[in-house]
Amino acid sequence: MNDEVIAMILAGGQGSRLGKLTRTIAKPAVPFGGKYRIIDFSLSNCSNSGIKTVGVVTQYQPLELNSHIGNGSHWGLDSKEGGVTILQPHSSLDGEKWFEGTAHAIYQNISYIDSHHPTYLLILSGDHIYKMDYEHMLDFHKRKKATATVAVIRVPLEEASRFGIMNTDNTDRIIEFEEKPAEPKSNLASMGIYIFTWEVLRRYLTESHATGQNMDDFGKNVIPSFLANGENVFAYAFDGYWKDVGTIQSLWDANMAFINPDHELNIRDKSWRIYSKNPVAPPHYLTSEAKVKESLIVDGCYIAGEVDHSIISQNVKIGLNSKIKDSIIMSNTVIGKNVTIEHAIVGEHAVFADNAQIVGEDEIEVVGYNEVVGGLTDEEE
Amino acid sequence: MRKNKICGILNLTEPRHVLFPLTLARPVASLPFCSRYRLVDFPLSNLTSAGVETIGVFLNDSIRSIYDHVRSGKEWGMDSVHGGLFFFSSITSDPGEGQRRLLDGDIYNYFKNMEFIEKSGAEYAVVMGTEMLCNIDVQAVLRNHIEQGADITVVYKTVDQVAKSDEGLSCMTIGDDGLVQGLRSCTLHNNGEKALINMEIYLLKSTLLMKLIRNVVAENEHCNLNDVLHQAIVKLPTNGFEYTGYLKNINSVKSYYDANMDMLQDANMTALLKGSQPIHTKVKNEAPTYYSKTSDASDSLVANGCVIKGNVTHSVIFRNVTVEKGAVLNSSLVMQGSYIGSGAELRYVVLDKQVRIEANTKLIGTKDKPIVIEKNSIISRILEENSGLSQVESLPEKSGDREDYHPSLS
Repeated sequence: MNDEVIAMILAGGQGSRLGKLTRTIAKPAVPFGGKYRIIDFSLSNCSNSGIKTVGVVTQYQPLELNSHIGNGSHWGLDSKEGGVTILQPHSSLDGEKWFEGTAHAIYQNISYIDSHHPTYLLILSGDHIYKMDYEHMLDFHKRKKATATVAVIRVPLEEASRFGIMNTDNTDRIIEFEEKPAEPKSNLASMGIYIFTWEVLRRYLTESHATGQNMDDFGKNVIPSFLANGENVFAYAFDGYWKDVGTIQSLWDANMAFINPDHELNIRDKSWRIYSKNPVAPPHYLTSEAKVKESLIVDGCYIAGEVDHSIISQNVKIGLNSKIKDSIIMSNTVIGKNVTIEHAIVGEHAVFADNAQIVGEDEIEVVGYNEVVGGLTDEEE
Repeated sequence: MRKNKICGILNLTEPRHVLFPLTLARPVASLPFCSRYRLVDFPLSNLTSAGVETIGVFLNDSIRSIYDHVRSGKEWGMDSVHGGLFFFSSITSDPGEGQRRLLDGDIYNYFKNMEFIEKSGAEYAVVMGTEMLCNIDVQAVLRNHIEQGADITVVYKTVDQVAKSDEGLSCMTIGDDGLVQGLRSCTLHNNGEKALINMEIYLLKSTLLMKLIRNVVAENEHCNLNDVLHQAIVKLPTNGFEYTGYLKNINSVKSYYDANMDMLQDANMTALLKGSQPIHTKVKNEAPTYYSKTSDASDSLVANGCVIKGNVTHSVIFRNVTVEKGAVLNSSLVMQGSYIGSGAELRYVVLDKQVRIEANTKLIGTKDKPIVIEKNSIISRILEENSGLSQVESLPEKSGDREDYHPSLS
């Protein structure tokens, strides 16, 4: 078996800025847009780009993620010659192999990558919302005779100091890389998507390991080292929708924008579908009392209350006279009667007793998975 | 349970002319139901929930639409190393015996393919169809069958009164010992009395089923498996198993429409779809359904992938349907991929798949006679059925509107 390119999705990040939402599940497994999980976007992009072999590197709270991915069949990645492999840290004779960083995670999985004999290696992160044809990027990599290609996106200059910034010449060659520069010279931010000529990356990783040189992180170590050694490193400019949903605010913002049917991501486009695991549920039912405006609703819901500018995921029940506004309700949540939820993110399997209230003021309220809200005793009511 | 204890026989040779035009190009089993299912999902899920690993699908004609939906049976867990799904289409002429036509009766199809039952190695066989829409626990039927020790178990449902449309069914008399004493057509049933409706679901030893088929073919090749089983349950000691869940006999456009509308009542929906036995179906990747600011939807079932901008009440909507702003949809059934233009008004209408209703079109059917629009139609005229009791007539409001009939780009 000989794949020209295989993908490695780095899904091991802790995502601690998502607070309660990543306490028990890995960031790439966090639900998005009513019926997706964040990693569905990378997996679907791989599938749609014709990549057949995908390694998903997990580390932190991987249970939910592993069961979500399964054998990859939901993304059409269970083909005879390829497939999805979940790669977890493991102990070996040389000791524990906990991943120290993005590049270290690749180093630890060299034998997996070698077993597929790829010419190129595509490195993805499992926590971005975007649609991208990796084949175009690979063509660019080949055309430029690059050994490393970094996907970049233009960000507003005033925000550039939050990103890894690539300074390029007029042939798109990267001449300088600055991690979170105070005074950015350009606004080309790294998307955390790389294509490497595998033979070259493999040499850097193994040699550095032998000489004790730190090569743990792509942004901090590998790309600078490539540049220092005069490798052909190019920036591939991407101009579609791309969002890092690393914080509660950005997760909420991206979800709210996603409601709009004219959203740039064009989720209803049949030519580039975003696949997900689709559990079977009956259609959603709106009772005679239901009022739904400017919202997304998924199969299995039972809605007797009001829903305004919100996303309601699978199998959610919303009782009579309850009002949901500007909120994301994740799957299997049960909301009683007269409940008010505003400006909030509610985790899966949460329960709201009758009359409960969750209203996010300046900050977004977050209700964790399986959390119970309300249900005070009679006196307290 | 030991593997392959029961083999399933899906008898999909049901008459379809009664559901024209909905069944012009599909068997009854392929009829879409309740926003995202097809009728075949029910017996198929019931069988697989009971651990049935070998299922034979018997059809009178093209298997395309059933096969398209079921494929390997993956969604029902049927793509395992044990058993699987087998499709048997009826032979209308047998090359071995010249051009003799075998159009009458389906028994020859079973006889020719009986090897399937033998090879499954299953001790029991269950025969089910799709016309009797229900959600039944086949394991409970098997337990009851073994307890009662009869040769055959037949499933029935007690109804207070036989509906006019169900007169084509048969009903049974059952003695105090729980055994079937007689079977007759529902037309002969005394009105106003309780009736035990035969649901055409049978459980019996595989060897007995094969013997029954073999014996009847020796005498008469032109009959149906149902007829054979009708005779058998009267002749042989037969146990009646009472089903108490939701049942609808899908034998007319009206009963099909009613069954869908029944699902708008939570009790029916729960009984059929939300009980302990899940109904599986082919999974599609659809975006969530979007409701716009201008939408006003209530008392409706809606599948994923829709865009709702208009007014929807008391309706059942399938995947990928668009209801434009200002459109009014009431008491209607809209199948997958249909489009309803702005200002259109639809009451008591059944739209088959991929229908396009142009803006300002008015289609008004009645509860007893919903207007059915065929698959892929484009409609831009006014059609109204007067809501009389028996007299139904077409009353085009503006005759000139027929000129508006024009094809659409999408």
